[in-house]
Amino acid sequence: MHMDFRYFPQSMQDDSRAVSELLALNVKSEDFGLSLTKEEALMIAAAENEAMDSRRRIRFGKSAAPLLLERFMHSSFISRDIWAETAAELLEIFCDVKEESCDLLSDEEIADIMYDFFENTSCGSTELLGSRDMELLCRAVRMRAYGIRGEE
Amino acid sequence: MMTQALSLPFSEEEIDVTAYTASLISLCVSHGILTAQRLDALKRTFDAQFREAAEQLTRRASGSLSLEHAEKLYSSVLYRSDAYLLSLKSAQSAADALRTVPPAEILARGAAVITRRFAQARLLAQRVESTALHIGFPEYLHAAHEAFDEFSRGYSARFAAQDICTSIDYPLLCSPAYALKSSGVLFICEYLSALALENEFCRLFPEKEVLGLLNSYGRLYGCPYHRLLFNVCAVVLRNALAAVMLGKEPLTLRLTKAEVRRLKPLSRAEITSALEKLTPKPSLRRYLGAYIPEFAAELERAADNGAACFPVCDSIVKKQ
Repeated sequence: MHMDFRYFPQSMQDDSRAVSELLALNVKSEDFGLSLTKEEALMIAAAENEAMDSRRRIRFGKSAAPLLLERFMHSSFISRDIWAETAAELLEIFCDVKEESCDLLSDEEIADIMYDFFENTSCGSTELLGSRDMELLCRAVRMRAYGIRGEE
Repeated sequence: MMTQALSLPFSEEEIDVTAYTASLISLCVSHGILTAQRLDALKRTFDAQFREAAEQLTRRASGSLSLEHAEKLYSSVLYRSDAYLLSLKSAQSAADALRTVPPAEILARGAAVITRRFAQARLLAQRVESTALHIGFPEYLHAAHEAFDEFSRGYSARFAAQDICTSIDYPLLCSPAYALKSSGVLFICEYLSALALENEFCRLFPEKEVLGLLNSYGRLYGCPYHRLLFNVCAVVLRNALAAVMLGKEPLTLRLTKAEVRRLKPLSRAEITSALEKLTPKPSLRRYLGAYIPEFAAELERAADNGAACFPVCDSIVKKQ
């Protein structure tokens, strides 16, 4: 029987570590009235996996969820009852930006930019953040990176 | 305790040279030569090296990559293994290495092979450039004078070891550049080695005669030769072999129309004998010998329908 082995990279996920890091953030986020239950942390970790898989991104390093939440816990637009749900939406947007900016921006850069737009331009709307602001940003990044050839 | 070498139950031809490691592993596992445990060890090492390469590529500032980037990076890791296993020159030795050499060592040795090949390619490029013919043929001039520089400027042995990073249009004696199965630094080595041999052969003849021949060749097709895309060595070799077969002095390129009409099909052994009169050098004979089937076919065509690809060159050409 001939078995065809193809060596394609597969996502290296460490969900238990991601969940631990998210729960550890409660120490800081509670100062802002925000916290996650274990179930919510698991939901967010799963949402990140789903977002990565649906965009065919390969994870090899740390989860982006703790990074994003650490930025967005400072937001004036997020309350306790929408914290987990917003986190999941932000992860979707994060993965879109990673993909549409052709991996030209680091995780921290994207988290900072997303937070800045969320607070000052999208006024707390993840829909505007994802569909308008980040799309314009990614187009600008691609244009800048690829010069007069425009978008790849 | 020395591990006994196994005799392989499959042929070298079954291995895909464009994905040597993956293909060989696949065959070895299918035939029970590699255990599941060994396969797992190999995969874990490849994955770990991929992860490290991804961290380096993203300057440790990202946790993910697009699938496209990730596949390219993983291929670069596997290329190191390919380079090492191919350097062992036989599938038997490669399979033994897969079975017995620590996986991380396979990749480390492969990285060393790539470094050596790059240095070799640089020397070959210098040799090609110093022996390049002075002809106004853009694709040839690019291959001889610019291709390696273009390659070395863009090549990343760490993140894209399989990339070719240069566009070469000039075909080799028996193959266009794009048909070579090697990739990355192995490709540029293979290509430049071949081009160096072709230059060496063409330099056996006075350059004025070569230029005259090329101009005549262009006239066969009704345009300046530099507007055609062909292999110069093939044109030179064809006329040189024909001249030997017609009993002319070796290392003559000039043929008259009457002489071309006298050409008859010959056996491959007879053509090989003619080739031996052109050069005593084994490496050159070996390389040029690959053209013999094509030459034999050309003689058959000339005999069958009178069409011949032997430029008539019966006067010294004026320098352009």
